[in-house]
Amino acid sequence: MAANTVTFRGLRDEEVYEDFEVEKAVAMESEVVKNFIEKDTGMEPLRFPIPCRNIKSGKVLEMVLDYCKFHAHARSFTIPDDDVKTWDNEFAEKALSADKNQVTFCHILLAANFLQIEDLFCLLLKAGADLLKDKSVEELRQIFKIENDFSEQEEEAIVQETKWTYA
Amino acid sequence: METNCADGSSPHSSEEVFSSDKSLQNEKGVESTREGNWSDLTEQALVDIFSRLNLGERWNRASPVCKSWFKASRDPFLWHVVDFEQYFGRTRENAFWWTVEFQKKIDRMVKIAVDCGGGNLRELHVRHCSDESIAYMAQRCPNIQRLSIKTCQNVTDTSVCQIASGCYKIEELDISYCYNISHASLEKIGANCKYLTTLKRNMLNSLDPSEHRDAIPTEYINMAPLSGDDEATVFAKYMPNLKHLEIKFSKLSPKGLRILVDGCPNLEHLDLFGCLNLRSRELDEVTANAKNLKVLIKPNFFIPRASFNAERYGHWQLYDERFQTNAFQI
Repeated sequence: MAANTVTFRGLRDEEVYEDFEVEKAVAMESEVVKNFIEKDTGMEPLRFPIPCRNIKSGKVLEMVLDYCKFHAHARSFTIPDDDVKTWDNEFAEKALSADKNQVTFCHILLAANFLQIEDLFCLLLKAGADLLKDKSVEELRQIFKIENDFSEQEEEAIVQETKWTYA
Repeated sequence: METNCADGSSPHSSEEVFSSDKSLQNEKGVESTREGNWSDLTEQALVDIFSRLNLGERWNRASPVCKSWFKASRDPFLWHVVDFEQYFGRTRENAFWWTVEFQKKIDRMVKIAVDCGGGNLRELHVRHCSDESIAYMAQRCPNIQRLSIKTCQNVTDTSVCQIASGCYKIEELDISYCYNISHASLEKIGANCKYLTTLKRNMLNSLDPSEHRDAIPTEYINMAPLSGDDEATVFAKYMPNLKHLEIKFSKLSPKGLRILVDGCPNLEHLDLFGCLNLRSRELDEVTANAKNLKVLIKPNFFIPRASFNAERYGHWQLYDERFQTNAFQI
Protein backbone atom coordinates (compact mmCIF):
# COMPACT_ATOMS: atom_id res chain seq x y z
CA MET A 1 0.00 0.00 0.00
CA ALA A 2 1.48 3.32 -1.04
CA ALA A 3 2.06 6.04 1.53
CA ASN A 4 -0.70 8.24 0.16
CA THR A 5 -3.44 5.71 -0.04
CA VAL A 6 -5.74 4.03 2.42
CA THR A 7 -7.37 0.67 1.96
CA PHE A 8 -10.83 -0.13 3.23
CA ARG A 9 -11.65 -3.75 3.57
CA GLY A 10 -15.27 -4.67 3.14
CA LEU A 11 -17.23 -7.86 3.45
CA ARG A 12 -18.42 -9.13 0.10
CA ASP A 13 -20.12 -11.99 1.85
CA GLU A 14 -19.52 -13.94 5.06
CA GLU A 15 -16.05 -15.17 4.13
CA VAL A 16 -14.66 -13.06 1.34
CA TYR A 17 -13.12 -9.67 1.76
CA GLU A 18 -12.94 -7.00 -0.86
CA ASP A 19 -10.39 -4.22 -0.65
CA PHE A 20 -10.92 -0.72 -1.88
CA GLU A 21 -7.92 1.48 -2.16
CA VAL A 22 -8.42 5.23 -2.22
CA GLU A 23 -6.27 8.29 -1.88
CA LYS A 24 -5.66 9.58 1.57
CA ALA A 25 -7.60 12.78 0.86
CA VAL A 26 -10.63 10.69 -0.02
CA ALA A 27 -10.33 8.58 3.10
CA MET A 28 -10.14 11.73 5.20
CA GLU A 29 -13.78 12.43 4.36
CA SER A 30 -14.35 9.96 7.14
CA GLU A 31 -13.94 11.71 10.46
CA VAL A 32 -12.78 8.52 12.12
CA VAL A 33 -10.00 8.04 9.59
CA LYS A 34 -9.14 11.74 9.67
CA ASN A 35 -8.76 11.75 13.45
CA PHE A 36 -6.71 8.62 13.37
CA ILE A 37 -4.34 9.96 10.74
CA GLU A 38 -4.00 13.33 12.44
CA LYS A 39 -3.39 11.93 15.87
CA ASP A 40 -0.90 9.40 14.67
CA THR A 41 2.69 10.46 15.11
CA GLY A 42 5.68 8.79 13.63
CA MET A 43 4.02 5.60 12.61
CA GLU A 44 3.12 5.32 8.96
CA PRO A 45 -0.60 5.89 8.94
CA LEU A 46 -2.84 3.03 8.21
CA ARG A 47 -0.36 0.50 7.03
CA PHE A 48 -3.08 -2.06 7.30
CA PRO A 49 -6.42 -2.18 5.60
CA ILE A 50 -9.25 -0.74 7.61
CA PRO A 51 -11.65 -3.52 8.47
CA CYS A 52 -15.19 -2.40 8.04
CA ARG A 53 -16.98 -5.16 9.83
CA ASN A 54 -20.11 -3.11 10.38
CA ILE A 55 -20.52 -2.42 6.70
CA LYS A 56 -22.78 -4.94 5.11
CA SER A 57 -21.43 -5.43 1.64
CA GLY A 58 -18.79 -4.42 -0.82
CA LYS A 59 -21.41 -2.60 -2.84
CA VAL A 60 -22.28 -0.42 0.11
CA LEU A 61 -18.65 0.38 0.78
CA GLU A 62 -18.12 1.13 -2.89
CA MET A 63 -20.96 3.64 -2.91
CA VAL A 64 -19.74 5.25 0.28
CA LEU A 65 -16.29 5.63 -1.18
CA ASP A 66 -17.75 7.05 -4.41
CA TYR A 67 -19.33 9.75 -2.28
CA CYS A 68 -16.04 10.42 -0.56
CA LYS A 69 -14.19 10.55 -3.87
CA PHE A 70 -16.57 13.10 -5.32
CA HIS A 71 -16.55 15.28 -2.26
CA ALA A 72 -12.79 15.23 -1.85
CA HIS A 73 -12.55 16.16 -5.52
CA ALA A 74 -15.18 18.89 -5.13
CA ARG A 75 -13.29 20.31 -2.20
CA SER A 76 -9.95 20.57 -3.95
CA PHE A 77 -11.37 21.84 -7.24
CA THR A 78 -13.97 24.09 -5.63
CA ILE A 79 -16.87 22.79 -7.64
CA PRO A 80 -19.85 25.15 -7.28
CA ASP A 81 -22.35 24.33 -4.53
CA ASP A 82 -25.24 23.85 -6.95
CA ASP A 83 -23.39 21.18 -8.88
CA VAL A 84 -22.48 19.42 -5.66
CA LYS A 85 -26.13 19.52 -4.59
CA THR A 86 -27.25 18.03 -7.89
CA TRP A 87 -24.73 15.24 -7.59
CA ASP A 88 -25.77 14.63 -3.99
CA ASN A 89 -29.44 14.36 -4.94
CA GLU A 90 -28.64 11.90 -7.70
CA PHE A 91 -26.56 9.90 -5.26
CA ALA A 92 -29.40 9.80 -2.75
CA GLU A 93 -31.77 8.67 -5.51
CA LYS A 94 -29.39 5.91 -6.52
CA ALA A 95 -29.07 4.79 -2.93
CA LEU A 96 -32.83 4.72 -2.46
CA SER A 97 -33.54 2.84 -5.65
CA ALA A 98 -30.65 0.38 -5.34
CA ASP A 99 -33.05 -2.27 -4.18
CA LYS A 100 -36.75 -2.66 -3.51
CA ASN A 101 -36.71 -2.37 0.24
CA GLN A 102 -34.20 0.35 0.81
CA VAL A 103 -31.86 -2.15 2.41
CA THR A 104 -28.86 -0.66 0.61
CA PHE A 105 -30.00 2.79 1.62
CA CYS A 106 -30.13 1.78 5.27
CA HIS A 107 -26.72 0.15 5.03
CA ILE A 108 -25.15 3.21 3.47
CA LEU A 109 -26.72 5.34 6.18
CA LEU A 110 -25.33 3.06 8.86
CA ALA A 111 -21.95 3.00 7.12
CA ALA A 112 -21.87 6.79 7.04
CA ASN A 113 -22.66 6.70 10.74
CA PHE A 114 -19.95 4.13 11.43
CA LEU A 115 -17.27 5.96 9.47
CA GLN A 116 -18.48 9.34 10.68
CA ILE A 117 -19.03 10.94 7.31
CA GLU A 118 -21.24 13.73 8.52
CA ASP A 119 -22.36 15.20 5.19
CA LEU A 120 -23.33 11.84 3.77
CA PHE A 121 -25.17 10.95 6.95
CA CYS A 122 -27.18 14.18 6.86
CA LEU A 123 -27.87 13.87 3.14
CA LEU A 124 -29.36 10.44 3.60
CA LEU A 125 -31.32 11.40 6.70
CA LYS A 126 -32.95 14.15 4.72
CA ALA A 127 -33.65 11.82 1.81
CA GLY A 128 -35.12 9.36 4.30
CA ALA A 129 -37.40 12.03 5.73
CA ASP A 130 -38.55 13.02 2.25
CA LEU A 131 -39.35 9.40 1.59
CA LEU A 132 -41.50 9.21 4.70
CA LYS A 133 -43.63 12.19 3.83
CA ASP A 134 -47.05 11.64 2.31
CA LYS A 135 -47.07 7.92 2.93
CA SER A 136 -49.71 6.07 4.87
CA VAL A 137 -48.75 3.81 7.73
CA GLU A 138 -49.30 0.68 5.64
CA GLU A 139 -47.30 2.07 2.74
CA LEU A 140 -44.44 2.83 5.08
CA ARG A 141 -44.46 -0.72 6.36
CA GLN A 142 -44.46 -2.12 2.84
CA ILE A 143 -41.75 0.13 1.52
CA PHE A 144 -39.39 -0.51 4.37
CA LYS A 145 -40.38 -4.10 4.93
CA ILE A 146 -41.21 -3.51 8.56
CA GLU A 147 -43.17 -6.01 10.53
CA ASN A 148 -45.99 -4.55 12.55
CA ASP A 149 -45.35 -5.64 16.11
CA PHE A 150 -48.38 -3.87 17.55
CA SER A 151 -51.55 -5.74 18.33
CA GLU A 152 -54.66 -4.51 16.55
CA GLN A 153 -55.96 -2.84 19.71
CA GLU A 154 -52.63 -1.19 20.44
CA GLU A 155 -52.40 0.19 16.94
CA GLU A 156 -55.97 1.44 17.01
CA ALA A 157 -55.36 3.16 20.35
CA ILE A 158 -52.32 4.97 19.00
CA VAL A 159 -54.14 6.09 15.87
CA GLN A 160 -57.19 7.31 17.76
CA GLU A 161 -55.37 9.29 20.39
CA THR A 162 -53.53 11.46 17.91
CA LYS A 163 -55.88 11.67 14.97
CA TRP A 164 -56.76 15.22 14.02
CA THR A 165 -60.41 15.66 13.17
CA TYR A 166 -62.08 18.46 11.32
CA ALA A 167 -65.69 17.68 12.07
CA MET B 1 -15.65 12.47 18.04
CA GLU B 2 -12.93 10.36 19.55
CA THR B 3 -11.09 7.43 18.26
CA ASN B 4 -10.01 6.16 21.61
CA CYS B 5 -10.87 2.65 22.58
CA ALA B 6 -13.60 1.93 25.03
CA ASP B 7 -11.15 1.76 27.90
CA GLY B 8 -9.83 5.23 27.09
CA SER B 9 -6.37 4.21 25.87
CA SER B 10 -5.06 5.46 22.55
CA PRO B 11 -5.37 3.15 19.61
CA HIS B 12 -2.29 1.32 18.50
CA SER B 13 -3.51 0.10 15.20
CA SER B 14 -6.26 0.61 12.73
CA GLU B 15 -7.58 -2.80 13.81
CA GLU B 16 -8.34 -1.48 17.23
CA VAL B 17 -9.86 1.74 15.97
CA PHE B 18 -12.29 0.13 13.65
CA SER B 19 -13.23 -2.75 15.84
CA SER B 20 -14.69 -0.40 18.38
CA ASP B 21 -18.25 0.64 18.08
CA LYS B 22 -17.86 4.35 17.75
CA SER B 23 -20.04 6.44 15.52
CA LEU B 24 -21.61 9.85 15.15
CA GLN B 25 -24.15 9.08 17.79
CA ASN B 26 -24.27 6.40 20.44
CA GLU B 27 -25.50 3.42 18.56
CA LYS B 28 -25.96 -0.13 19.59
CA GLY B 29 -24.58 -1.32 16.28
CA VAL B 30 -26.16 -3.79 13.97
CA GLU B 31 -25.61 -7.49 14.24
CA SER B 32 -23.63 -8.65 11.29
CA THR B 33 -25.79 -11.68 10.68
CA ARG B 34 -29.08 -9.87 10.17
CA GLU B 35 -30.03 -8.33 6.87
CA GLY B 36 -30.78 -4.96 8.38
CA ASN B 37 -33.69 -2.75 7.46
CA TRP B 38 -35.38 0.39 8.63
CA SER B 39 -36.50 -0.96 11.95
CA ASP B 40 -32.86 -1.65 12.71
CA LEU B 41 -31.85 1.91 12.08
CA THR B 42 -30.41 3.23 15.23
CA GLU B 43 -32.86 5.15 17.31
CA GLN B 44 -30.88 8.34 17.01
CA ALA B 45 -30.91 8.17 13.22
CA LEU B 46 -34.67 7.57 13.31
CA VAL B 47 -35.15 10.50 15.69
CA ASP B 48 -33.17 12.69 13.36
CA ILE B 49 -35.26 11.63 10.38
CA PHE B 50 -38.46 12.21 12.34
CA SER B 51 -37.30 15.68 13.31
CA ARG B 52 -37.64 16.59 9.64
CA LEU B 53 -41.32 15.63 9.57
CA ASN B 54 -44.10 17.82 10.89
CA LEU B 55 -46.16 16.95 13.94
CA GLY B 56 -48.97 15.27 12.02
CA GLU B 57 -46.66 13.14 9.91
CA ARG B 58 -44.76 12.01 12.98
CA TRP B 59 -47.78 11.31 15.01
CA ASN B 60 -50.16 9.81 12.52
CA ARG B 61 -47.88 8.12 10.02
CA ALA B 62 -44.58 7.27 11.63
CA SER B 63 -45.48 6.37 15.17
CA PRO B 64 -47.98 3.57 14.47
CA VAL B 65 -45.63 1.74 12.09
CA CYS B 66 -43.89 -0.40 14.69
CA LYS B 67 -42.73 -0.29 18.30
CA SER B 68 -39.25 1.05 17.61
CA TRP B 69 -40.65 3.84 15.45
CA PHE B 70 -43.22 4.61 18.13
CA LYS B 71 -40.47 4.91 20.71
CA ALA B 72 -38.35 7.12 18.43
CA SER B 73 -41.32 9.39 17.73
CA ARG B 74 -41.67 10.02 21.46
CA ASP B 75 -38.07 11.09 21.95
CA PRO B 76 -37.90 14.34 23.95
CA PHE B 77 -35.67 15.86 21.28
CA LEU B 78 -38.69 15.99 18.96
CA TRP B 79 -40.83 17.86 21.42
CA HIS B 80 -39.21 21.27 21.78
CA VAL B 81 -41.95 22.87 19.76
CA VAL B 82 -45.52 21.58 19.66
CA ASP B 83 -47.58 23.53 17.20
CA PHE B 84 -51.24 22.62 16.82
CA GLU B 85 -51.97 26.10 15.52
CA GLN B 86 -50.80 24.99 12.06
CA TYR B 87 -53.82 22.68 11.96
CA PHE B 88 -56.29 25.08 13.54
CA GLY B 89 -55.17 27.82 11.19
CA ARG B 90 -56.01 25.81 8.08
CA THR B 91 -59.72 26.42 8.35
CA ARG B 92 -62.06 28.97 9.83
CA GLU B 93 -63.16 28.67 13.41
CA ASN B 94 -65.27 25.55 13.54
CA ALA B 95 -68.34 24.80 15.67
CA PHE B 96 -67.04 21.33 16.49
CA TRP B 97 -64.03 22.85 18.21
CA TRP B 98 -66.37 24.32 20.82
CA THR B 99 -67.72 20.96 21.90
CA VAL B 100 -66.80 19.06 25.03
CA GLU B 101 -65.78 16.08 22.92
CA PHE B 102 -63.19 18.10 21.03
CA GLN B 103 -61.93 19.75 24.17
CA LYS B 104 -61.32 16.35 25.76
CA LYS B 105 -59.44 15.25 22.68
CA ILE B 106 -57.23 18.31 22.61
CA ASP B 107 -56.56 17.97 26.32
CA ARG B 108 -55.39 14.40 25.74
CA MET B 109 -53.15 15.44 22.88
CA VAL B 110 -51.60 18.23 24.93
CA LYS B 111 -50.95 15.81 27.76
CA ILE B 112 -49.21 13.40 25.41
CA ALA B 113 -47.04 16.24 24.13
CA VAL B 114 -46.24 17.21 27.71
CA ASP B 115 -45.38 13.61 28.62
CA CYS B 116 -43.03 13.42 25.66
CA GLY B 117 -41.46 16.84 26.00
CA GLY B 118 -41.43 17.55 29.72
CA GLY B 119 -38.58 19.85 30.51
CA ASN B 120 -37.68 19.99 26.82
CA LEU B 121 -40.90 21.67 25.83
CA ARG B 122 -40.15 25.25 24.87
CA GLU B 123 -43.14 26.23 22.77
CA LEU B 124 -46.76 25.19 22.76
CA HIS B 125 -49.41 26.54 20.39
CA VAL B 126 -52.90 25.20 20.89
CA ARG B 127 -56.55 26.21 21.04
CA HIS B 128 -59.65 24.96 22.82
CA CYS B 129 -57.93 23.06 25.57
CA SER B 130 -59.01 23.40 29.19
CA ASP B 131 -57.60 23.95 32.68
CA GLU B 132 -56.95 20.22 32.86
CA SER B 133 -54.18 20.08 30.27
CA ILE B 134 -52.81 23.54 30.98
CA ALA B 135 -52.38 22.78 34.66
CA TYR B 136 -50.78 19.48 33.66
CA MET B 137 -48.35 21.35 31.44
CA ALA B 138 -47.63 24.02 34.03
CA GLN B 139 -46.53 21.39 36.53
CA ARG B 140 -44.21 19.59 34.13
CA CYS B 141 -42.75 22.12 31.73
CA PRO B 142 -40.75 24.68 33.66
CA ASN B 143 -38.75 25.67 30.60
CA ILE B 144 -41.55 26.75 28.38
CA GLN B 145 -40.84 30.08 26.71
CA ARG B 146 -43.62 30.66 24.21
CA LEU B 147 -47.17 29.71 25.00
CA SER B 148 -50.20 30.33 22.83
CA ILE B 149 -53.58 29.24 24.17
CA LYS B 150 -56.03 31.20 22.07
CA THR B 151 -59.76 30.65 22.20
CA CYS B 152 -59.63 28.36 25.19
CA GLN B 153 -63.04 28.95 26.64
CA ASN B 154 -62.38 26.68 29.60
CA VAL B 155 -58.98 27.91 30.61
CA THR B 156 -59.51 29.98 33.73
CA ASP B 157 -57.50 31.88 36.30
CA THR B 158 -56.89 28.57 38.08
CA SER B 159 -54.51 27.15 35.53
CA VAL B 160 -53.09 30.54 34.52
CA CYS B 161 -51.99 31.00 38.14
CA GLN B 162 -50.28 27.64 37.86
CA ILE B 163 -48.50 28.84 34.74
CA ALA B 164 -47.39 31.83 36.75
CA SER B 165 -45.88 29.69 39.47
CA GLY B 166 -44.55 26.87 37.29
CA CYS B 167 -43.32 28.57 34.14
CA TYR B 168 -41.23 31.54 35.10
CA LYS B 169 -39.26 31.49 31.85
CA ILE B 170 -42.19 32.49 29.69
CA GLU B 171 -41.30 35.22 27.21
CA GLU B 172 -44.35 35.23 24.97
CA LEU B 173 -47.91 34.57 26.00
CA ASP B 174 -51.01 34.62 23.81
CA ILE B 175 -54.32 34.29 25.66
CA SER B 176 -56.44 35.94 23.01
CA TYR B 177 -60.18 35.23 23.11
CA CYS B 178 -59.96 33.46 26.48
CA TYR B 179 -62.79 35.14 28.31
CA ASN B 180 -62.52 33.14 31.51
CA ILE B 181 -59.11 34.51 32.29
CA SER B 182 -59.23 37.73 34.27
CA HIS B 183 -56.69 40.30 35.22
CA ALA B 184 -56.33 38.59 38.60
CA SER B 185 -54.21 35.81 37.15
CA LEU B 186 -52.49 38.20 34.76
CA GLU B 187 -51.24 39.97 37.86
CA LYS B 188 -49.62 36.73 39.03
CA ILE B 189 -48.10 36.20 35.60
CA GLY B 190 -46.62 39.67 35.68
CA ALA B 191 -45.29 39.22 39.18
CA ASN B 192 -43.59 35.88 38.55
CA CYS B 193 -42.69 35.82 34.89
CA LYS B 194 -40.01 38.42 34.66
CA TYR B 195 -38.92 37.51 31.15
CA LEU B 196 -42.30 38.20 29.62
CA THR B 197 -41.96 40.70 26.80
CA THR B 198 -44.83 39.77 24.46
CA LEU B 199 -48.45 39.54 25.54
CA LYS B 200 -51.47 39.07 23.31
CA ARG B 201 -54.82 39.55 24.95
CA ASN B 202 -57.03 40.22 21.92
CA MET B 203 -60.81 40.08 22.07
CA LEU B 204 -63.21 38.92 19.38
CA ASN B 205 -64.77 41.42 17.03
CA SER B 206 -68.07 42.08 18.75
CA LEU B 207 -69.08 44.78 16.29
CA ASP B 208 -69.40 42.48 13.36
CA PRO B 209 -70.60 39.07 14.54
CA SER B 210 -70.88 37.77 10.97
CA GLU B 211 -67.21 36.97 11.22
CA HIS B 212 -67.96 34.23 13.74
CA ARG B 213 -71.37 33.20 12.62
CA ASP B 214 -72.14 29.47 12.95
CA ALA B 215 -68.95 28.80 14.84
CA ILE B 216 -68.61 30.73 18.05
CA PRO B 217 -71.52 30.67 20.48
CA THR B 218 -73.08 34.13 20.69
CA GLU B 219 -73.20 34.01 24.46
CA TYR B 220 -69.42 33.61 24.45
CA ILE B 221 -68.89 36.62 22.20
CA ASN B 222 -71.00 38.67 24.59
CA MET B 223 -69.05 37.74 27.68
CA ALA B 224 -65.88 39.55 26.69
CA PRO B 225 -64.31 41.14 29.76
CA LEU B 226 -65.08 44.81 30.11
CA SER B 227 -62.10 45.42 32.32
CA GLY B 228 -59.81 47.03 29.80
CA ASP B 229 -58.61 49.64 32.30
CA ASP B 230 -58.11 47.15 35.12
CA GLU B 231 -55.94 45.10 32.86
CA ALA B 232 -54.02 48.15 31.71
CA THR B 233 -53.29 48.87 35.35
CA VAL B 234 -52.00 45.33 35.82
CA PHE B 235 -49.77 45.61 32.76
CA ALA B 236 -48.37 48.92 33.95
CA LYS B 237 -47.74 47.74 37.47
CA TYR B 238 -46.58 44.18 36.95
CA MET B 239 -45.28 44.00 33.39
CA PRO B 240 -43.11 47.06 32.93
CA ASN B 241 -40.80 45.18 30.57
CA LEU B 242 -43.44 44.56 27.96
CA LYS B 243 -42.27 45.24 24.42
CA HIS B 244 -45.12 43.84 22.38
CA LEU B 245 -48.77 44.14 23.41
CA GLU B 246 -51.91 43.32 21.47
CA ILE B 247 -55.31 44.15 22.91
CA LYS B 248 -57.60 44.28 19.88
CA PHE B 249 -61.20 45.19 20.68
CA SER B 250 -60.37 45.93 24.28
CA LYS B 251 -62.70 48.28 26.17
CA LEU B 252 -59.70 50.33 27.21
CA SER B 253 -60.45 54.01 27.88
CA PRO B 254 -58.11 56.95 27.25
CA LYS B 255 -57.33 57.01 30.95
CA GLY B 256 -56.37 53.33 30.86
CA LEU B 257 -54.25 53.91 27.79
CA ARG B 258 -52.33 56.60 29.58
CA ILE B 259 -51.68 54.36 32.56
CA LEU B 260 -50.52 51.64 30.20
CA VAL B 261 -48.19 53.77 28.14
CA ASP B 262 -46.70 55.47 31.18
CA GLY B 263 -46.20 52.18 32.98
CA CYS B 264 -44.69 50.27 30.04
CA PRO B 265 -42.00 52.54 28.67
CA ASN B 266 -40.35 49.74 26.68
CA LEU B 267 -43.32 49.15 24.45
CA GLU B 268 -42.29 48.87 20.82
CA HIS B 269 -45.45 47.38 19.35
CA LEU B 270 -48.97 48.25 20.47
CA ASP B 271 -52.04 46.92 18.71
CA LEU B 272 -55.22 48.77 19.58
CA PHE B 273 -57.33 47.72 16.63
CA GLY B 274 -61.04 47.86 17.42
CA CYS B 275 -60.59 49.68 20.74
CA LEU B 276 -63.81 51.63 20.45
CA ASN B 277 -63.26 53.98 23.34
CA LEU B 278 -60.10 55.55 21.99
CA ARG B 279 -60.07 58.38 19.55
CA SER B 280 -57.40 59.54 17.27
CA ARG B 281 -56.46 62.76 18.98
CA GLU B 282 -56.29 61.23 22.44
CA LEU B 283 -54.26 58.39 21.06
CA ASP B 284 -51.74 60.72 19.50
CA GLU B 285 -51.47 62.76 22.68
CA VAL B 286 -50.90 59.82 24.94
CA THR B 287 -48.47 57.99 22.72
CA ALA B 288 -46.47 61.07 21.82
CA ASN B 289 -44.09 60.42 24.67
CA ALA B 290 -43.70 56.71 24.09
CA LYS B 291 -40.11 56.86 23.00
CA ASN B 292 -39.65 53.24 22.04
CA LEU B 293 -42.92 52.78 20.24
CA LYS B 294 -42.23 51.75 16.65
CA VAL B 295 -45.53 50.16 15.63
CA LEU B 296 -48.87 51.53 16.72
CA ILE B 297 -51.94 49.92 15.23
CA LYS B 298 -54.77 52.35 15.69
CA PRO B 299 -58.39 51.49 16.37
CA ASN B 300 -59.00 52.27 12.71
CA PHE B 301 -62.71 52.70 12.68
CA PHE B 302 -65.09 55.54 12.33
CA ILE B 303 -68.06 56.24 14.54
CA PRO B 304 -70.15 59.37 14.30
CA ARG B 305 -69.25 61.66 17.17
CA ALA B 306 -72.69 62.08 18.59
CA SER B 307 -73.35 58.53 19.54
CA PHE B 308 -71.53 55.54 20.75
CA ASN B 309 -74.38 53.15 21.13
CA ALA B 310 -74.12 50.10 19.00
CA GLU B 311 -77.83 49.40 19.41
CA ARG B 312 -78.76 52.57 17.57
CA TYR B 313 -77.07 51.50 14.41
CA GLY B 314 -78.05 48.18 13.04
CA HIS B 315 -74.97 47.59 11.05
CA TRP B 316 -71.47 48.92 11.61
CA GLN B 317 -69.05 49.38 8.87
CA LEU B 318 -65.44 49.97 9.60
CA TYR B 319 -63.93 52.81 7.64
CA ASP B 320 -60.36 53.74 7.38
CA GLU B 321 -59.79 56.94 9.33
CA ARG B 322 -58.39 58.61 6.26
CA PHE B 323 -61.89 58.85 4.82
CA GLN B 324 -63.47 60.52 7.82
CA THR B 325 -65.23 63.77 7.05
CA ASN B 326 -67.49 66.06 8.99
CA ALA B 327 -70.36 65.10 6.77
CA PHE B 328 -71.03 62.22 9.15
CA GLN B 329 -71.25 64.38 12.22
CA ILE B 330 -74.59 64.42 13.89
